Amino acid sequence: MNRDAIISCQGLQKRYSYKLALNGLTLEIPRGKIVGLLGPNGSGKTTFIKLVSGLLTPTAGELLVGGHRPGVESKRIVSYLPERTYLNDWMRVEGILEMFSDFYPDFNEAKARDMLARLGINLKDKLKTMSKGTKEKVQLILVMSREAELYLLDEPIGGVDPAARDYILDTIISNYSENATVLISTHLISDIEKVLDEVVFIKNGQMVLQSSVDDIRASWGISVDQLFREEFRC
Amino acid sequence: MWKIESDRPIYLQLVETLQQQILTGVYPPGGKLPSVRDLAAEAAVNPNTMQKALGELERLGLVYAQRTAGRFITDDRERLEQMKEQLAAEQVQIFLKKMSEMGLSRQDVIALLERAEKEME
Amino acid sequence: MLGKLIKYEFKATGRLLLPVYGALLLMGGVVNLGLTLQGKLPVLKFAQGVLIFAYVALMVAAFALSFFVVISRFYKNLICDEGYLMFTLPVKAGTHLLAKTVVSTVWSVGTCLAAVGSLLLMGAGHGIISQLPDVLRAANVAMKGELGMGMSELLLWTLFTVLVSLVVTNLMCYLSISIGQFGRGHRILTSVGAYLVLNVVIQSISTVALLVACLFTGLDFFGDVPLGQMAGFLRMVFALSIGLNVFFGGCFYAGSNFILSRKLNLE
Repeated sequence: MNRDAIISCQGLQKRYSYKLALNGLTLEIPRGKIVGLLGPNGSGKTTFIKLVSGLLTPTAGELLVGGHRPGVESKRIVSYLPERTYLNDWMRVEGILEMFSDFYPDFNEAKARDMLARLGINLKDKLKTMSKGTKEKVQLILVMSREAELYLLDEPIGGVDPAARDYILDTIISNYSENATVLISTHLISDIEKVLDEVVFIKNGQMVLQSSVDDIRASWGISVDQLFREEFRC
Repeated sequence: MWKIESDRPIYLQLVETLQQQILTGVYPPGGKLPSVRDLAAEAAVNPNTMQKALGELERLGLVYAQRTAGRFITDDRERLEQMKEQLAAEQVQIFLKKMSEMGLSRQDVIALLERAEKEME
Repeated sequence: MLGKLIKYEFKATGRLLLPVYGALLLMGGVVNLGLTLQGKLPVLKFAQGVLIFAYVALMVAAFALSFFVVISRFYKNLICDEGYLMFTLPVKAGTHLLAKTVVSTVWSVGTCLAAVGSLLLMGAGHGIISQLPDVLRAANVAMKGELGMGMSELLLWTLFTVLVSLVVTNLMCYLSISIGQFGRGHRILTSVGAYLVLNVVIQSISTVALLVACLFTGLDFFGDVPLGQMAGFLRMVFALSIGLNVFFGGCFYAGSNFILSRKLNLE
């Protein structure tokens, strides 16, 4: 497998007792790109992201993240933003900043403080008292303030108002580094299409298509969003 | 300003918009372009795509890169004028074609143009 | 990394438990005051019963709360949403388990110490504390005569057994909660079920072990133990209990470690 790819999997399988979520997934995600992981609900997107982030173990197949099997070394270089809020409720903002600094040597605390200040979030604020939207922004800031090699964003713009969505996309673009890859899992493609280099379509736990956004537009004469709708028409 | 349509490659549309901005003087000859990152953020597109567009502008001779200083608009005014005329001519062709498709004669088109000019004043 | 995890464990649990310890100690002082003033203000005599009752209730609550805080911390921090942060830290799952085990053990000991401290506070100044060494010595001699085992030895055995069983109870809860995450949608119910099953298992094994031990030492399990052999019997029971607990504890720890490392499936 290509060791230059940030994610590399072959025949990746994840079986739950009730379902076969990934069925022989084989793909490579290159470094330095913003990649969209697209697929309908239940296609295996979240399972794949959890496998890459080390929250799940594969049932079969091979998976390498930055050249390592998911574990302590891969977790060091991966910055993961799940769909849910994972912050310790009892902490204040400054507490969670300290925690990220403690555990992640690549955490850029100054950058995080700057972004928080620009959103008007006080360091002494208690996480418990924040609205869901604000907590999500704090989480996004924490994740993007790490100088990681891979950013995993699971549905970052679902259920979010347009202003917040623009803020999120702007943060992703301005934080872009050519040494890092951002993998965004979403089913809301039209909002995010312009920000993506490449897309990977997943269906029934397998890869269906991997291509650059402009290649799709050039070849098919339609947007990725439209292609997605046609591909996954029920 | 950055209106991007869904069915054409994004980088081509970026090239067009930047070209327009250069020719209309938004980015004056000899001036410095913002960084790739800033332009990408402004257009809300992927920095790699913006990079590709800028590469294309370099190929067209509108822009040149100076290793650490960034990208600059050419100060070859002749070239810019040439390009302006070329693009204008293209627009005229498109316009004339549309008019003839609608069945208007040369006279009709000239009358339309004069009337429109008066209204603009 | 372990040290850092332990630091955050203490921060998260200490802010709930330290006030409880404070309240316990304070209550000891208050009861002390009440008893002292009783002599001067006879009206307080009726309040004495209420005060003692409240004190006992607080003592029980302190232990219950201490247990609850530690167990719910494990559930909330590892199995609920916070788990998404915890298990993506560059740390092995086993390290998380170790950190929580260390901290919960410290708190188990701490609660016992706070209880003892509170009792001492209650008895302070009434001459009870100064009399304590003499009382213990007398009890020691008396017990040695009767049972063949001194009071201090008995206390030590009891203390050790209690401590070990507290730690092992925590570990059993950790394993139950870890098993609970398999019952998607009914995690807490599954945890409780697992706890009950584990309980039955260890009770059965313990009973069998005791029976076997009795067979080996020739003691009649179902009959009365003759006084002369009492000390030996007690020592055997204590040692067996501690030994079994350590064994169970090890199994529980290994089980939790396996589940959290290989079979993690957060919802």
